[in-house]
Parts: sequence; C-alpha cells; structure tokens
Amino acid sequence: MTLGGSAPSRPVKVAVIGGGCGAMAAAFELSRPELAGRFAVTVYQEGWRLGGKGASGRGPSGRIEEHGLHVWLGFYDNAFQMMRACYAELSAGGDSRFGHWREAFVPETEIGLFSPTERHGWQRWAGHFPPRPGLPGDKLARGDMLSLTNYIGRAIVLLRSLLLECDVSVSDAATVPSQAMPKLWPPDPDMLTDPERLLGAVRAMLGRGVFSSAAVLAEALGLLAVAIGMMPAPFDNALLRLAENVSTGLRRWLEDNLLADDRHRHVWEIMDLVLAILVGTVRFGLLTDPRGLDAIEDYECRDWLRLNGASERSLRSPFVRGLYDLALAYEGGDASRPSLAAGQALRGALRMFFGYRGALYWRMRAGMGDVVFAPLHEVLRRRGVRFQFFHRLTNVGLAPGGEINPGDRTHVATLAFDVQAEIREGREYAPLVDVAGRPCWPSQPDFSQLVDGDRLAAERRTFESHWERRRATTKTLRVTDDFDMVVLGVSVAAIPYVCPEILSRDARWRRMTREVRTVASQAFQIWLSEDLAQLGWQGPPHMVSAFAKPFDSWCDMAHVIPEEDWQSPPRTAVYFCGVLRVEADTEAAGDSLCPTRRAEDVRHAATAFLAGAARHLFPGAYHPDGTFRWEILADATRPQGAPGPSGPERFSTQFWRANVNPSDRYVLNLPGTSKFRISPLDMTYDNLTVAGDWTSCGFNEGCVEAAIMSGRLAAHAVSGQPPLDDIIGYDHP
Amino acid sequence: MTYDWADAIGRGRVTPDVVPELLREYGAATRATVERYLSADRPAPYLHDLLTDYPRRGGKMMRPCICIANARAFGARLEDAIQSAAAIEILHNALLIHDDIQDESEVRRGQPTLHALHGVALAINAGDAMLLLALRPLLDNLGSLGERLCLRILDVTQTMARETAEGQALELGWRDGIATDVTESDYLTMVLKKTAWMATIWPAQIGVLIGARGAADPARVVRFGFFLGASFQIQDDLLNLIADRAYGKELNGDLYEAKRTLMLIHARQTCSARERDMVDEFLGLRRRDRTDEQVRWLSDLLERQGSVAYARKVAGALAGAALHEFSLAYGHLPPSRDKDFIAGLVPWVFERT
Amino acid sequence: MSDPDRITRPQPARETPFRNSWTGPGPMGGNQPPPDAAVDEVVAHAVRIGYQVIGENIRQGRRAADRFSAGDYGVRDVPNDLTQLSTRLLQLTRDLSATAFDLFGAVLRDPTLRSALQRNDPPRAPSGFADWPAPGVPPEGRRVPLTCDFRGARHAVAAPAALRYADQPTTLSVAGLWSPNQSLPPLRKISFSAAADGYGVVATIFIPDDQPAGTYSGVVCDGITHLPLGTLTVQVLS
Repeated sequence: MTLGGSAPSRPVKVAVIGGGCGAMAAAFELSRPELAGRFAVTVYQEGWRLGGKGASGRGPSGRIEEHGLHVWLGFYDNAFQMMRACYAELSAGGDSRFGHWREAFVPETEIGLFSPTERHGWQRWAGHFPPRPGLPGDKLARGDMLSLTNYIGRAIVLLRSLLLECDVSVSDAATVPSQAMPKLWPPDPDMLTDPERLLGAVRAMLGRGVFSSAAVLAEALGLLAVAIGMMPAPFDNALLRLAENVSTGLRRWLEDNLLADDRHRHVWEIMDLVLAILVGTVRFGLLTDPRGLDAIEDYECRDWLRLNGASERSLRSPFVRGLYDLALAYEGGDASRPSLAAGQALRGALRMFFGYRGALYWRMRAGMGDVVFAPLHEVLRRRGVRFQFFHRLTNVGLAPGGEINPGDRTHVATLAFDVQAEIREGREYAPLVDVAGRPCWPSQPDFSQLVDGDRLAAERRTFESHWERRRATTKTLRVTDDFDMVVLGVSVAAIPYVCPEILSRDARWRRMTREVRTVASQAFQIWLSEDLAQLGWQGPPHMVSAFAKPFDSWCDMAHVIPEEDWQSPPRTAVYFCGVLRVEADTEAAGDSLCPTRRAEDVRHAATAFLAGAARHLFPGAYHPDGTFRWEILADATRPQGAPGPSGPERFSTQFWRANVNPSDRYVLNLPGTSKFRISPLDMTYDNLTVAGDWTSCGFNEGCVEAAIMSGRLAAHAVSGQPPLDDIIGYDHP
Repeated sequence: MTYDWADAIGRGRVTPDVVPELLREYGAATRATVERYLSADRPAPYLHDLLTDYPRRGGKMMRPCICIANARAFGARLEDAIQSAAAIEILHNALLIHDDIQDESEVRRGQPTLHALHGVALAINAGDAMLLLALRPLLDNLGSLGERLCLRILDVTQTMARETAEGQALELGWRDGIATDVTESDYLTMVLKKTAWMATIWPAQIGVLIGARGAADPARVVRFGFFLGASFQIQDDLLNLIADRAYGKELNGDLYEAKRTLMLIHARQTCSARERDMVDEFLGLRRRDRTDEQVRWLSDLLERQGSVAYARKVAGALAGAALHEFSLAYGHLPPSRDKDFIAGLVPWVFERT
Repeated sequence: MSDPDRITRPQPARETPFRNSWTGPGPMGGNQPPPDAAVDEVVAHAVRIGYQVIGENIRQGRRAADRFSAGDYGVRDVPNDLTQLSTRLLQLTRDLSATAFDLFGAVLRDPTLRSALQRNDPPRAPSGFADWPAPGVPPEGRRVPLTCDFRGARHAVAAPAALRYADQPTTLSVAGLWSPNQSLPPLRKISFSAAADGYGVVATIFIPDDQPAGTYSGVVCDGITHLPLGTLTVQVLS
C-alpha cells in the first residue's frame, strides 16, 4: 500500500533514528498539526540527550558545555523557519519558559579574520556586513529569487562600491577625454530592452582597448552587470572578452593603486576573488549550464579560483583561509591538506554573503541544546511524538535477497537496537533539568530514573561514547508491527556501525561511506574573571576565524554567562575550536581508551595554545614575562573562595572535548564526492529515508541548514509534505 | 520521453523539412571544401583517385552538418565551421575505407568498395593518407579561429580518436575472439565508442566550441550525441537487415559477418538452448565458410524471436532519451533553423532510407 | 516478500533539485519527467542502460583527460596511426607558445611530422606554406595571394598583392608601412594570419583614428632569412 493515495485507516508509524538537526526536522514536519496525526513518530536516540553534533549540556555551576562553536548564518532559512514556528507554537500553547525567538538568537554583523604577518605576528581584519531587510526564515520575495544572475549582479555591485570607495586620483580621470567615452552607466533604459544595442555597446567598449582608470572600470563593470542581467540573449563571445578585459584591467589597476597600500590590501584580495568568480562563471558557462554550480563540483575550490586568474596572494588571504576554517575543510583533519569542492564552496559563499536576511550570522543566547533542541523536544512531545532514549541502533535488517543493484528495490524488515539502560517503572525518560529558570539538557544522564541507576553510575557508563558497548538488553522492531517507515538520521561516519547489513548488500552505500568523508574536531571553553576588553581584545567582532591552528576559530560568549548558574559569575566565556587530526580514519572499535587519549591530547593542545598563540589575541591575559595568567580562569567545580589548582593545572577546571565519536565527526565536501551522496528522495528502500548534512540535499555542506533541509526532504519522502518548492534553497543554481 | 517514434513514423512523416534542406545546403558546402582539400595541383598516381572516390559517391553528410548546425545554433557563421566540417567528412570517409577492409565488404554506396576496386594495399594507403589529411583543415582553424579554439578542437578530436579506436578494438575483439556472451550493455558501450563519438558527439562538440567561441563546455552535448548516435546505429543495423538492395549495401552483410548487433544479441539471449548452440557455431565460423542457408536460418531466428521489433523499440527509447537530453543541452538557445535541425535529426534517423 | 498490507513510500515527483538558474525554481522544458506515462519496461530498461553506459564513459573520459593534461600521454596499441599522430600533434602544440602563425610554421618544421605528412606524397593542400619550392626562380603563377583586413574607424583600401613563396616554412614580418611623405607617421600595427578558406595570407592592419590620409607601403619579408617576399601597399582614405 503506497502512501499518497487514500489515507490508511491507522496512523503510519515512523521510526526516526537519531536526534540531530536532520532527524528533528523530519520529526517536526511529520508531526505537524495540519497532518492531523497521520504519522505516529517515535524518536530513537542513544544516550540521554537530543542534538547530535549540536547537543549541549550543563556542567558544574550550570555552565554550558558544547561540542564546539555553533553559529547560525543569516541564510539558514529552513532552520530559522523551523525554530520560529517552534517558538511560536510553544508560546501559543502557553509555555513561556523559552521566551521569544529573537531573544534566543542574537544578530551579529561583524566577523573577524586574521592574517599572519612576516614577524610571526597576526594582523586582524574586521568585516562589517550591514543588516539586510527581512529576517531569516521569511518567505522569499520576488527580488530574492535564488538565481546566479542575481548573485552575480550583487557581486558586481559590491565590486563597484569597493572600487569607488578607493581613492580615484584626479589625474586618472583627466587622461580619458570625455567625448571619447560614451556614457555607459547608468545604462540607457532602451539598452536594457534591446540586446543588439547592448552588445554593440559591449563591443564598443572592447574596442577601446585596455582599461586604465577606475571610472572606466566602474562603467565596464556596470555594463557587465547589465549584460549578464540581459541573459538569455544570443550568447556572444563579446561577453567573455569583456569579462576578461575587465578582469585584466581591474587587476592591473588594483595592483598599481592598492597593493602598495597595506590598509587596502584586503580590499584588493576580496576584489580579486570576486573577479575570479565572475570570470569563472562566464568562462565555465555556469549561467546557462543546467547543472548550475554542480558543473564545477569536481574542482577543488582554490584550484578553480586559480584557473580563473585569482592570484596566489588572494588564495592565501584570510578570506579563503576563513572559508576553509569555518567549513573545517581539511582532509583527515590535516591542516596541510585543505580541500573543498568548488561548486558547493561557491554556492555556500554566495548564499552566505549575498543571501542573508537580517544579519550575517546569529549567536545563540545559550547552548545550542538549550536554544534549539530543548524547545523542539517540548513541542514534539506536546504533539504526541514519543522519545526512546538510551536506544542505540545496531542493524537495519532488510528483506531477504542478495546484492542490491542499481534500479533494484527492497525494504527494511527489522531494526535492531541495544537498549543501553531501561527506565524505571516503564516510564518515559524525562531528559531536561532546570537551570536558572530554563529547561536544559544536563551533561550527565539522570541515573535516578534508570533501572540499576546506582550501578550504572558507579560503572561510569558513557552512553554517548562509541566505545561504550555495555547494554541492559536488546530490542528488535519489526515492520508493520512496530514501524512502517524509517528515517535514518545518524551521521555518515556511524553508518558502518549501525547499518552493517545495508553495507554488505548495497554498493552505493559502501561507496558513499568511503567517499563522503568526515573530520574529527576539538574544542575548549574557558571562563574568565576579566572580560575581553580588559584583556586587550576590543570587539566587535565577537567571532573570529583564520587564526593559528589548531584552534583557528573562536568566539566571545559573554552573553551566555547570565544563562548559567554561577555563585559568582565570571565576566566572560570564550569558546575555541578547530579540526583534530586523527591518524586512522576510524579508530578500532575495541580501542576503548581512544576517547580518553584524544581528550588528553586536546587538553595539552589547549594549554599550549593559551600559553602561546593566544597572547596575540588577549595581551592583557599575560604577565610581563609572557606567562599566561592562569588565575583568571574561573573555576566552576568548586565553591567560590575554595582554593583550586594554580598554574597550567588550573586548566583542568575548564571544559574541553575531542569529538572523535563517529557520529560527532564533521562532514566534509571534498571535490568530486557529491555524486556519491544519497538523496532522502532515493527510492531504493521503499520504507526508509535518510536525513542529515551528509546526504544529497541540495546544499551539500556540513551545517545546520543542510541537515534541516535534508530532514524536510526526508519528511517529503515519507509523506509528500512539505512540497519541494517550499524547501528554500533546494532549487538553487 | 517515451514517444513511440517507430509508430509515429508509420503514421506519416515527422521529420521537419529543415532537416533535408540543411543537409543539402551544408552538405554541398562541405563537399566543395572537401574537394578542394583532396584535389591537388599535381594528382599523385595511385592516390588521387582513391582519395576522391568515396567522398564523390555522395552520402547523407549527417556528420559535417551536425557540426555546422551546432556552430550556427550557438552563434557562429557557416564560414567559421566549414573547415572543421570538411575535416569531419574526410575523417569519416577515411574510416569507411578501413571499415570496409576489416569487414571484408564488397559494396559501398551502390558500388564496389575501394579495396575491391584497387586492392587492399592501395586502399589501406589511401585510408591512412586521408586520416592525416583530415587534420589539415583542423590546423587551418589556427588562422580563422585562433590558437586557443583550435587547440580545444584538437583536444576533443583526440578524445574522439581514442574512443573510436577503442570501439573498433572492442568490436574486432568480439569477432576475432569469437565472443558469444556480449550483452546489451556491452553493445551500447561499443556503439558509443565506435560510432557515436565520431558520428554525432564529436561533430557536435566542435560545433559548440566554434559557435560559443570556447565559452560553452563541449561536454554538454555528450549525452545527446550518444543517444542520437546509438539510435542511428541501431536503425542502421535494422535497415541492413530488412531493406532491399536499394539501400546500397549488400543484403544481410551484417549477418554474414556475424556483426554483434542488438538483434543478434537479443535473439541469442531469448532463443532455446539448442538454437543458441547453433548460433554459437555460426559465430565460430569464418565469414567465407558461412553458407547462404545458415544466414537465412539466422535471419528467420531473428524474426521469430521478435528481435527486430525489440531493437526498434530500444532505438525509439534511446531517441526519446535523445530528445530529453536535447532540451538540457540546447534548450536555452534562441529558436533557429539550426536548432530545429538538430532536434529534427532524431526522427530523421528513423525515416531516412 | 510481498505483503500487501505493508505501507510503502510515495513516489516523489523528482529526486533532484533544479539547478538551472534561468527560470529559477520550477520546471523547465525537459527538466520535468513526462506526466505518468505508463513506462514500457523494455523502454525503461534501455534508457537505464543507456544512461549507465554514457555515465561510465564520461567518468572514464574525465580520468583520461586528467591524465593527459598531467602529461601522461599513454596511448594504447591500436590498429591505426591516428591516435599516435594526433597525440604528437597535441604535445607539440602544447609545448609551443607564440602566435598562431608561428605555431603553424613550427608544426610544419618538425621533421618527423613533415615526413609523416609527406608519406605517400600527399596532394598539396592549399592551406598554408607547406612544401615550398627550392630557391631560385619560382614557376610563374606560384604566388600567395595577400589580402588586407583593416581595423579602426578609418577607411582604407589595399592594392592587389601577392607574395612569393619562401624557401622554408617561416614567419612573415614587416617593419611598417611608410608614406613617401616622411613627415607622416607610419602604420606599425600589422599582423599576419592564414586565410580562412585556405588560400593565401591575411594582413590585419590597425589604422589609428588620426592617421593622415595617403598611401603607405612597405616590404614584407621572410621573418628568418629577411629576404623580401613582396610589397604591401594600402591607401588610407580621408
């Protein structure tokens, strides 16, 4: 019986496996009130909390303990749409504990990037991105249509404004006799409707030869913008020549005028990169290729930019490094192997810089678990979604058969779980705790709710660790009896451990797990008794990237202190993160000491970082002799006034994490690997779909937005809702 | 996408008039250029007549016309593409000479094959010379199209040459190795390499490069070219089987040669075990040892197993796929006779005789 | 296992996003699959195999292209010379830089290629300067037509001209075109290329907007031996 026909007589049982963004988005869609209970959703999650890579906990003094640094970018339309709906539903239902979504998400307009200087120092650059109208998650207006033409037009406007901001010397303008230069910008309104005249003007401009002044350059750029906007017109090579001539002339002018001036060096680098993108767009025919940006998916991002004329200088600029750092785009976690697929990199950059609504990025008022997954849990629970915590998937059992060839179809017959712990009196586990008046996820499970809880606590069960294999019992669910549909929301690195049967029979899945790679990450958080201004860092910006490895990205989180529960609150908290290099791709399953060893590695690295590179960030945190003032680290583990460790040992009172669990590994998009991803809409398994930022979801990058788009696609796969057109950004060049 | 071409054609003509019109017009221009390249001030003995023989026998000129039409559809002039079109036609004829020798055919376009007329040695010589000659017009593109475009055209030519050689080797391997278990997938792979690359993909790629001045990626027409070329080849094999002598090639030539056509593969896969043994025995014979009676039996087997209808259906399916790919590769172009011509080639493949 | 009560997923209308940026989101022409035509299994199978075959070919082609551009010209043993010859050709063209004309000349200067092209004494293709006759008196009528292509806003005409064949394949050079009136600036921006139709040479001459009207001429020489090959005369109109 196929869904989509007449409604079946009983609710369809959907097993959602996993608790991250993808799984939650699927659950959110399938349990919508408008669907009137057609789907009975049960979420199966290992351990005691939802969130996946976005999970956060509360430790001593109610301090927030995260997996790493989480910000939401202003183009995360699907993600914000879901959270806005979630918060609205809560307050409509009378639950005021979470507040308004605008309190939960705080807009930011400045981002900082570092570039290394010759003398082993660091120079800081701050980018200010003005707020744009609307809010993320709003419906798209006509003018916001996601097309390359729109983006390119905006990129050109950016270039022109940057160009005209720079000084244009008077003598420059004078060398161009005014009567020889037809006025091309703003363009003749007639020209906008007459392709022939436009092309004639383009040819005339080409006939002038090399461009030599900013004014001409600006006009040429304007013409290019209009010309591109006129497409599709008979495709003329004049356009390509104009793009290349503009590019050459512009580069020459920029080198002459800007390079010498250090202040403007970064403007040059931005323009150089935007130019390379423009030329590449025209040269690779991206504007007319039906594959859109997927046409350059096999190229590595830097290589593609280089192909289109970007200089080595620009490719080493903080912008490109920041792009790679924020995407953790280092193969194997090795900083010497940056790798990012050009098509998706460009798509992501275009959406990030030209597609944001409201602010460029948004910080959360507390941990992501508190701000995102706690309200989601509440809303879902009210809608009737059931949660089975402490369930870890061990196998997806299929209908009998052999190797699954392309075009074959089969289905899921059983789901096998390890039940890590059972809940006393057969109740549902209540996962949230109250901290400073808000429901939050704790950093440890509530053993008092668990059968044999005391013993489990004494045995130090680490339910979220991949290496923790102990269990209370096992459970096998059967199709039709226990579930009708499965949404598989575990991350790709965990697939070999949770879907062994699928991998043994499906070559496509084997290829996927081989080609769609992940990277481990490391993070630490410090709480300081002095704020950053006192320590020598004047923000905004509050978020910074492209700094020294391994902790190249960090963020000032002073705003979360009020959400914690300190006896004597510190002045600020700072979160650091970066890739973690792990030698073997996956650690041996039996090596249970691995997480402990890795965590130790992170502690050493963090301590060394504070003792060393961080002096460039917070000079005030150091004694005159150069040693770090360890005493400013605020100790949450002891009552105020109690003596704690001093010196580097004091770091042990802070929080650090090695994200080495397979499902905690961050998903990469290496060149040429998108084709190996599997879409939630794929029909090989007629009662299974997948959700997560590792799937082929239209925005193949490791981020919250991709995971939520994927979850919505998974919901569509199961129910036909939401319509694909409603998934903003799915149809996108 | 599942338009039943065979059926549509049975009901009346579907090919737009622009197809035969442009075939005539572009064909004539190409022929003139080819003649100029092949003619010499001092005709070389034993060579000149051989070089100009096949081109002068006429032919549909589909390949060079694909090139010109693509170039014009993307915005160039006939003059820009005519040299490449001539190169394509010369190369096609050169490969025909070699094909005929390898297939031991006796008739080409209604007359004796070149090696039947002049002997194998001279024919091979002529074929080689023509291959090299085909490069000259492509080198002339240096002057008219510029260095960069000329290099790119040579690039795609090299790819085509490699594919064609691999396709020829594949087919020869089947024949000489007496392969019996060739599948449809193998067949399509061989058709792709041996026929489609040279006949439909490569000419279109050159046209695209010339037309868009290198700004459009020639890879965009690969799928369309493949499906068009594949249905072209299947239809060719069908005609060889069922048309009468007016077609110009000898009747049942492919059967005598035990060419691994789609019909043969299908018949062999669907017949009884005993019949399959007889087919395999036939495949193991040398051409000269195959009797008329055996060939007639094989032809009947193909009919009994419905292999002809099957192949027609597959050709129709691939034609449908060709149309789908056409819209992806050419859909964005403004309307033009050339665009219609390219699309019109799909039904033309079936209706030509 | 066909349990009729088992619930299955609905077939999605499409499985991939629209990436065509012209029409934005929404169906365009062939992007959308045909509405629910009952798909004949033979047809579906044929199309499926077809796509598999071409997909595999494209993948392999990409790998081969990458190897080739990385300099690995590995060529397999195949029955005819075409592949090897075109490989050599491409290698040569890649290794050389310079103008189109130089390139053409250099290709022909490669002795291996020249002899290969001259094997079987191929007929003279009127496409350039191959097979120049020995120095001495060229037979009457063996001259290369020279035509002019003018660039710039001014009008000009060229006197009919033809060049003598050079001894060996070579480049053409001209120092400039001068007027008998020494005070007038010469025309210097001149380049040569092979004619599109295969006959002769085209001289592309750029005339500045402020060039005085008059007659300008100069000698066209063999770029290597510097022997004169002919005269080029143009008249710039007022």
